[in-house]
Amino acid sequence: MGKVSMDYLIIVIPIIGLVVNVCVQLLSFRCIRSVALLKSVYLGFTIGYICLLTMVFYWCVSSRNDYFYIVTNSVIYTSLGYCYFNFICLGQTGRRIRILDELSNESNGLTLDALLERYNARDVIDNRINRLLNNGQIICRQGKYFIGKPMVLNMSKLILMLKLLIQGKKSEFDR
Amino acid sequence: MYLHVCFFYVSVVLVYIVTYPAIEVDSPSLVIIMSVAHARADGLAKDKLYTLLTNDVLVKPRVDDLIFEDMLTLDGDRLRITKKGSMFIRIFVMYRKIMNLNQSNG
Repeated sequence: MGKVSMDYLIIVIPIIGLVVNVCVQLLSFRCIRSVALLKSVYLGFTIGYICLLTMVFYWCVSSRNDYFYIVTNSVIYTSLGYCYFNFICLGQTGRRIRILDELSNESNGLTLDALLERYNARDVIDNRINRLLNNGQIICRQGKYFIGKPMVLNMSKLILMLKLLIQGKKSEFDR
Repeated sequence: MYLHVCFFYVSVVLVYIVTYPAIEVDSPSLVIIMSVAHARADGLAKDKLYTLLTNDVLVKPRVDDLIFEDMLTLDGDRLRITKKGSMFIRIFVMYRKIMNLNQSNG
């Protein structure tokens, strides 16, 4: 294979990895009952990454830039996988998506009160609490919630740090 | 090599673009988990969350965002979805059909 075509091939490897990731995620979620949404995302990502590494090792084994391609392709693939994961999360948990969803079937639109009857703060809290409970991130004892696994708490702390660093405030409601 | 570096840069920028809304807007899960963490050994009751996180905090600002982004219009007292909003939501509805999922939980 010529050098130019080899260069292009190396660039498209992360794209091929992403395609494998999406296909595995979709197929595993649709066809295997025991695979939940989050598990299917992990599975797709892992298999896509194995494909990526196989392709990089296969095509770049004779190249002097082996490590460069392994590192850059891994970062590109992880970035694209992260974007795909966010796309799935946005579609399933985004408040703006849910509001648009409620209004998309109403040709005459809805008043704010009617919208709030269908989707309101209580729904948001209940849905989030259920998800956090199911993932073990919080636990419920005698009607009160406590921190379970610390993963989401650590992520929240990181996001708060980024908020302070980028926006100079902890909340969108702070001045 | 240069093309590869460009691709690398674009992918990292994409991560920043995707992450930015989480930084810009308060995620309800983040607020809930931080509130539970602050309650420590006393624990946090759901009612406390209901009083802390109202429609004014969780839903109305997102409706305002959608109006600002031209995805919704306020026609008198009625909120209507715009063409841009319809096209945007169609992507997610289509994907949900492929995945065989129900409506978004929000």
